Amino acid sequence: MRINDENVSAEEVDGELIAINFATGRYFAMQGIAIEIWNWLLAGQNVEQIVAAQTGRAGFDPAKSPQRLQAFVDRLLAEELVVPAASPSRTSPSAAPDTPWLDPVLEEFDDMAAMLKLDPVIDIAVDGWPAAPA
Amino acid sequence: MAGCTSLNASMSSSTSTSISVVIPAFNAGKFLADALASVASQSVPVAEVLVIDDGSTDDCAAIAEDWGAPVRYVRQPHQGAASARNHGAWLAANELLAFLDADDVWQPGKLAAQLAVLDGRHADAVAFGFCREFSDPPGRFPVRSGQMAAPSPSALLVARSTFFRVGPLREDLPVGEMAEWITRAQRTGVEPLMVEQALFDRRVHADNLTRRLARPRSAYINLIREQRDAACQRS
Repeated sequence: MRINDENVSAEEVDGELIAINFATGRYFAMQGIAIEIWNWLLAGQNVEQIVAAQTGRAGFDPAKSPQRLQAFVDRLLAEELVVPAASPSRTSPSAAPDTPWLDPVLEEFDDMAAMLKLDPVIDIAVDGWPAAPA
Repeated sequence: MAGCTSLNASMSSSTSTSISVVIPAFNAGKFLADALASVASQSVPVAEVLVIDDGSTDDCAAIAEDWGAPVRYVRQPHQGAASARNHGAWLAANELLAFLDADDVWQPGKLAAQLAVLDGRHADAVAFGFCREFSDPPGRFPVRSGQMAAPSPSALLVARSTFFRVGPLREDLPVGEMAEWITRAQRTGVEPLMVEQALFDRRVHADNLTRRLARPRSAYINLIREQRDAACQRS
C-alpha cells in the first residue's frame, strides 16, 4: 500500500503519528503498534505477511489479533489514508519487536474539519498544478 | 473610480450599524475594487473600511485612496495577513468588526444575515458562514462546486471587544490562524455561529494558488499537534 498522498499528509513526532485527510477534514492519531503497522503497510507488507511475522510475539493472540489487525487496515483503507499500491512489495517480512503486541487503535477527530476542508491543500497536486476542470 | 459614487453613497449613508471592515491587501490591486464594491453593496451600510496595505508594490494605495470615504487607507511594512488584520482591528473605531480578504467578494446580504443570527449576542457569540469558490479567470483553475462552511476571516463578524477579549490573531502561524483563534474563542466561552448560506465568494487565482503551494502541509500537522498538546495540559 501507499499513502494517499493526493489528499493525505502524515507525520510522526515523539511517538505519535498524525494523519490528515484534507478531502474529508478528518484527522487521525496513532501510537505504538498502530504506527508499526502503518510503516509495515507502507513498506509493502500485507496483512498475511504481518500476521506471519508477529505470530509468537508476546500478546499476539492468533485467535483474535489477526481479525483486529485486518479491521484496523480496513479502516485505514475506508478512511482513504492509504490506497493499494500499484506494484507489490519486495520487502522481507518484519521481525517481531521485543515489545508486546497490543491491538492497534486509530483515534479519529473532526473538530477542525471545516478549516481543513476549506483550506487549500485539496488544491495541491503532488506533481504541481492541479488540472483545470474539463 | 468610475461607478463608485453611488456605491460610496451607499457605504456612508448610515453609521447606525457601527461596523468597521478590515481589508488586508498585499499586491491585490487587481482585485481590491471588487472587494470594496462588495462592501458597498451590503444591504447594511458600514461605517468604516480600513484597507491595511501590507507593503504592496502595486496600485493598491491609489485604488483605496481614490475610493474616498468611508474607506481609509493605512500602510504597514510587509508582515503578513494576520498582522494586517490585527492592525486593522486595533484601528477600528466601531462596535462590530468584519474582515474581508482583498481577493474575496461578499454577497450583498452578508452582514444582514450575520446580524440576524447574532441577534445582539455580541459578547458571547461570533458569526461565520458559508462560501463559494470561483476561478479567475473563469475556467482556468479547479474550484469546488456548491457552498462550504468557511471558518475564515472573510466570513467573520465579531464585536471588536469580543475579538480582543479572545486575543488578536496569531501572527506566527503559516496556516490556520483563524482556526486557532476559533479554538481560543470557544475556550473563552464565545460561541461560533454558522450562517448556512454563502456569504462570500472565494476567488481562486494564480497568486493565491502559488502561495498555497508554498505552504507546507506539515504546518497543519504542527497546528493539530499544538492544539492537542494544549488540550492535554488543560486536562
